[in-house]
Amino acid sequence: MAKKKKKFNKTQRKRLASILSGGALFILGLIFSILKLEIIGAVFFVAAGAAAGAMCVMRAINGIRSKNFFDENTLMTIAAIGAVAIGEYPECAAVMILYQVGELFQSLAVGKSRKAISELGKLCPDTAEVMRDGSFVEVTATDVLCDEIIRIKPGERIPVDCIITNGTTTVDTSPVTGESLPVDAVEGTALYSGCMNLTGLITAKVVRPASESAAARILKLTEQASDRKTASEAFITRFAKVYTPLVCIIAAATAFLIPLVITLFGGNFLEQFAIWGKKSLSMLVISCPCALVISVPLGYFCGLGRASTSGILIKGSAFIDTLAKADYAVFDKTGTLTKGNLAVCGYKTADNITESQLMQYAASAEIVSSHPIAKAICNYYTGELINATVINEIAGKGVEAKFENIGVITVFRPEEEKETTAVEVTANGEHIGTIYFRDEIKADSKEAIQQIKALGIKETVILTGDGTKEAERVKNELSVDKVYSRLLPENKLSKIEELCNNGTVIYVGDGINDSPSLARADAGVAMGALGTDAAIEAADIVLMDGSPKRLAEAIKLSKKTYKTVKFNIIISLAVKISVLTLSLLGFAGMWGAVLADVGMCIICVSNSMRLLKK
Amino acid sequence: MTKVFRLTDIDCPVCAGKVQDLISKIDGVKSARVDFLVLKLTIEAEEKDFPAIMKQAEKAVKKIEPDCDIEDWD
Repeated sequence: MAKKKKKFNKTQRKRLASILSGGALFILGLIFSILKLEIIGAVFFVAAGAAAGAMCVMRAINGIRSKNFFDENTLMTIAAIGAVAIGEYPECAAVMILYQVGELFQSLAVGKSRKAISELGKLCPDTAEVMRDGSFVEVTATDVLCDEIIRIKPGERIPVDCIITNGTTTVDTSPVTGESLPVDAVEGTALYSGCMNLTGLITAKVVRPASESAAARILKLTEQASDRKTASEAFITRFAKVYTPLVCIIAAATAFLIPLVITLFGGNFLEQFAIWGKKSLSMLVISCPCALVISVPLGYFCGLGRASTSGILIKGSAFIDTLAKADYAVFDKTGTLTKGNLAVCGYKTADNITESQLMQYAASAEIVSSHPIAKAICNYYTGELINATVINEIAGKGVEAKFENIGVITVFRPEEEKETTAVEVTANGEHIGTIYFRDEIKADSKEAIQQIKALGIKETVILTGDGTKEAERVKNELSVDKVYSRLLPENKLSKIEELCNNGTVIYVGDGINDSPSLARADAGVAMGALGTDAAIEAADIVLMDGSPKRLAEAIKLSKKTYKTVKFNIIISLAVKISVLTLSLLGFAGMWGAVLADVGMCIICVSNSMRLLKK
Repeated sequence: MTKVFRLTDIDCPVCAGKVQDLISKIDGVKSARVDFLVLKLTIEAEEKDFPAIMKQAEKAVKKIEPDCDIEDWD
């Protein structure tokens, strides 16, 4: 990122200098005025205006040279010179000083937000300890190649995506996923760059170079995020283009046209020009559209930045609006609301057999299989296993195992598909029991659905390829509004299309085979997608960890951002219009106008920056 | 081809818009974008035209923000 070691950049230092010198001269002017030395006071006021406004005047000249007449610098200069012309010397200084204060504040605020966002990119250490020629040497992280072995000490950040080859530790994944609980990591655990190694010394094999590792991908996404603009941003950009000329025309009309019309009805032009010209100067003071224009993109920028600190990556400010306005939250079931792996949920035994016997036989037979059912059985049964002499895995059916004292045990899936997932266990051809499985619901799914409903989502929907009974169970347990079961991926897509015709749709999936749905929905959310490129590619929003509660957080944050931006637009337009009207009616002098404008700028910018806070 | 550059000091979206307009008008530039919050300048042009374009772009930036420089993105 930018090499900014100094607290202020060049422009900011210049502004600060103009404010300080202008301010000092202004105070001297005040002192002389109080001492009734008006003429000396006036000289100091004009000098203060010149000192504070030198930058503004230089830019105005630059603007006129490049035939850019409707430049706010030009208009501010005209306002200040005009103030001197009509003898309002303190106003000349005040306008310039306060204008610079507003600009400096704004520039510092932007700098601060940029820094907050770019710190995300500094998740990774610059160096890594890598095994080269039999010993560990320190190299730049970008020089580490795939398949090399690196060593990470406790308290260090993970430099590149890797898999532990030796050692155990706990890892703080919060910089990347937002998940605050440390995670245990053992041999074979995949680690993502940017996470913090907390307790153990580990060695790991590199799976992705630094440029393609998690932290780099996150940074890339946040940097690209500003490419997709919202309607409000587009509006404000268009508005800014016409705003300054518009103010200029109104001010000119006030200064020249109104006195001219009054002259036609028998007034004195010069007398009228003095009155209306003064009013028009107050209007010129608010000609700078920056405060108005800056708070909107800054609001979205801070919203996006804040989201990414919670492991929510939003690929464009446009999706903040979509989340804020969403009507439907549609979830894929498996892997999104449920854990996506099976667990034993019940069993039926034949008369002459106990539960532990049934599970012991089944687990002993399934021990070498990698099928989800086998894993569920072995996870469930924690007792002693019997060694089988022969184990045959029969594809699409189950396993058949021979034991010395028991004989042949088979664990087969039933031939006709049932509503719930189950296996039949036999001993020497005789049925000894049935084991039932189901997909476990994630611990925080229920709370997430409640929160999402409370945030004003009209309808929550589950789409699943599973059977009706299982789908209904999940729906009821989580109190989701609707469920559509037995859907093929293309059916899911057409369901999403149907909902899209009725309102704004958020679709949440794990990104494994629902990329079309992710792409079709108004906002596609990929969950737990740290490792999968396809999902990150297809989705508009990426939730780094697998908790559905992050979606609720994302919606909440989007609503807050949307409200903040809207408030800023309304308040800045209101202030600008009031100042114009009050100036026209003669109630707002230059002091009032410039204070209102600078104050409004500070309020809007601070309001946007509030979004950065946790 | 498209190249990405970093602008050093640009703190006002209106100025950024002006810079974008000026750079877009330079001969040989197919499209130009200034993203003022991430300080990113993206220029699309023929590779061979870039040296000439960048000289003019520097000038254009200085016209609006006298203290702003153009650097390589990385």
